[in-house]
Amino acid sequence: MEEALNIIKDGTLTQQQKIIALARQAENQLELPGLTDKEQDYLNSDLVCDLAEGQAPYRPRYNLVDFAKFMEEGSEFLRLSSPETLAEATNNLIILYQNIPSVTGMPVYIGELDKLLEPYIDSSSDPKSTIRLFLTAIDRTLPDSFVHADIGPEKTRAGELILEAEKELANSVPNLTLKYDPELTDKDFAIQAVETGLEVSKPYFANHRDYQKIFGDEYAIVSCYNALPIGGGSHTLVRMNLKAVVEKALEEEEFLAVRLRDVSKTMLSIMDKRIAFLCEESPFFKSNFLVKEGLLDKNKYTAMFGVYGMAEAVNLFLDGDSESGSYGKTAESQKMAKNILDIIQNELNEHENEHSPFNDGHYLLHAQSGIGEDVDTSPGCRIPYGEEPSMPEQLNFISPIHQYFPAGVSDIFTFDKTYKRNPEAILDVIKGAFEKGLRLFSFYNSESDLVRITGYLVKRSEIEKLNQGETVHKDTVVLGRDTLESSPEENRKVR
Amino acid sequence: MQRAVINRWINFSPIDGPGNRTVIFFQGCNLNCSYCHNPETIEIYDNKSKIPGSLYLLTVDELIEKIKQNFPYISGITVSGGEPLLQLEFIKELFSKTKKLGLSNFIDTNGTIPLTEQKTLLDLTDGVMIDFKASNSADLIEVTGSDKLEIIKENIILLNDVGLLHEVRTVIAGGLINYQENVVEIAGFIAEIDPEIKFKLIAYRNHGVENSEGIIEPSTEDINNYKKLARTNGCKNIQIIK
Ligand code: SF4
Repeated sequence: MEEALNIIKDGTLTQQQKIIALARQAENQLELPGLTDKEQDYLNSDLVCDLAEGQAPYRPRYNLVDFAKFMEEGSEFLRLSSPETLAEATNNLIILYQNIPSVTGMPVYIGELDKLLEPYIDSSSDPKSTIRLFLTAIDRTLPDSFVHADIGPEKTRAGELILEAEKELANSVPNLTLKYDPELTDKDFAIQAVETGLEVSKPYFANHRDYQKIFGDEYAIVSCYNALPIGGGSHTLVRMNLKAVVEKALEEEEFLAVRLRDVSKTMLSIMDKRIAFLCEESPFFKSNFLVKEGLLDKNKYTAMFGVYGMAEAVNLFLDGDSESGSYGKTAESQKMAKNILDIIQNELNEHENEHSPFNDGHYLLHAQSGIGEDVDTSPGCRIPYGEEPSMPEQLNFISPIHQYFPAGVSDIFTFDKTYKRNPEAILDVIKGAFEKGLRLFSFYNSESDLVRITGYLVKRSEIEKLNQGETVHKDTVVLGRDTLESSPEENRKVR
Repeated sequence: MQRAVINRWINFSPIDGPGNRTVIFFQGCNLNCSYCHNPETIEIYDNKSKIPGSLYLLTVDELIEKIKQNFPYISGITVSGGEPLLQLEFIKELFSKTKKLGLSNFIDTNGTIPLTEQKTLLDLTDGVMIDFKASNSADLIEVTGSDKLEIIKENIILLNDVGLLHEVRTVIAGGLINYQENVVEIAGFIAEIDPEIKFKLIAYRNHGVENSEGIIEPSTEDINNYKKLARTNGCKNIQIIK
């Protein structure tokens, strides 16, 4: 109960942040049924972490509402009919966003905004100002940097207006991704996106051609950079600390592969149990209006098997020192990373979950971006900050590794301001990287107020405020501050 | 097998021609500019067997081997220096190979090597950035130590004729010469050839310059004024780098 009291007394949390924290606190008085002692042990150790999803999952972690269907049919539950004007369209969406469940209480996906709004642009007398109001409403009513919108790959009027407005507003929400395919995306639109990125650290560029191979057209980049099917999502995300797995294997003097298989199997079983509770005990898939109205479809759900701390795992194994070593610099370290991922992927291939029909019941690998409390581990498979080799070497190293992660992976690159004079140069880098298999490219300009933390945006100026004890509107500012303090994000190499 | 003396290279550069480029700085220059930002690239090594350890002596294939990791991510390469065209035969061989690899070839030159006889080189080249450091012989000697005015002018005209003139550049280094006059004359010369030629005015910056005594960084106001001057003298495509 003391924890509840601490939340109540915390002067840096907004009212909404307190309510969410208190609800989580209450949920965690329960215990997820059916966990074995070993599973519990692993969860209590560094090996496996359920990312504070709660002990009694009563909604899937990531829900990608089928907004196109919503625009076409409206919603009976919300008493909204199909919109006829741009104002109605944006208003309907704002209403729907308030009713989408997730772990943070705010939607991780808010639609392919350009496609959703394009049909209404021509009939609007001032589409730009409506879009500005819409984006401002999103930033202020959904104060969470994991709220994510998608645009592209084709250039549209709406897409251009969204980029223009984002550049002017410089809000940290929503997170934004351009699905990019050099053959489908007009060059001037891609350049506009790069220019926007150099000002406000978004959009990301997603390798559309590559993601299409996995998901078809119906996918979106959501939350930090997760790739998931539209109309469904991911029941859960649990993650494995690869560094801890190597430590354990070394400690027990056993083969790494044996320990990797063991932790994978244990984690898969934990995921199964979470999903069983969600799908069998909680009534979500029976009672939620999004499911009933076909805006979410149980058959389009999967679950995300997260890994992180690859760099430290490989360095520890090959060089005996997790803090610095050959990861990112040698072919051997790349091979080792691939071996680790092959072993895990094999376990995923052999495992099926009855409640997760997408991908025939096999969960999807995800390069987890890390959380505030992480110390001494790098996000996903990233090369530790400050240890990166030259950019081409980094790209050559990391691109093939991206191929292991259908459910999301990203690398962040920093460019100095001279690139503003020549955005095409960044497009060259992105195109090359995508050909090499890189899946998600995010970048920012080293002088920007909006900084990209592992997978989301926060404002330097807001972190400052928080440090002075002021309340800030966004929950992710706290996360960002913690992450900045525990991982030397500022070390990231500027090009 | 021919080898070139190379000072260094930059894997990715956004400021040396279109798109992202790998820039190779060749060792050796025939000028001695008072504001040179790379004075370490000036010295020419005739006896290639006696170069300092900090420099590279490479064949074309060896150079390509060192930069080929960049190829997926660049539009092309730019040769710079020093004065790259002092090692012209090497550059021809390099360009013929990079061209085959689908890369574009750019030259960043001080403009003093005559190009009239260099058809083979120009056929392999996609664009040239050329310096025009001063508009008259006296000032050119003051800035660079020698008078190559006519060659520079001929080169600019020729490059424009063959469609390879990417930009003409003038560094504005206050206190050195009268840039009012120089900008007026250079702009006039350019505009007469074609007002659309890109004319880049680069503000001299102190960092990294060894012999910077007496040279003053121009103010933003100065630079903006020179831009206006260039415009009133007919140039339509002026870029300033502060
Ligand atoms: S031409 Fe360029 S490299 Fe040569 S001395 Fe002048 S500034 Fe330096």
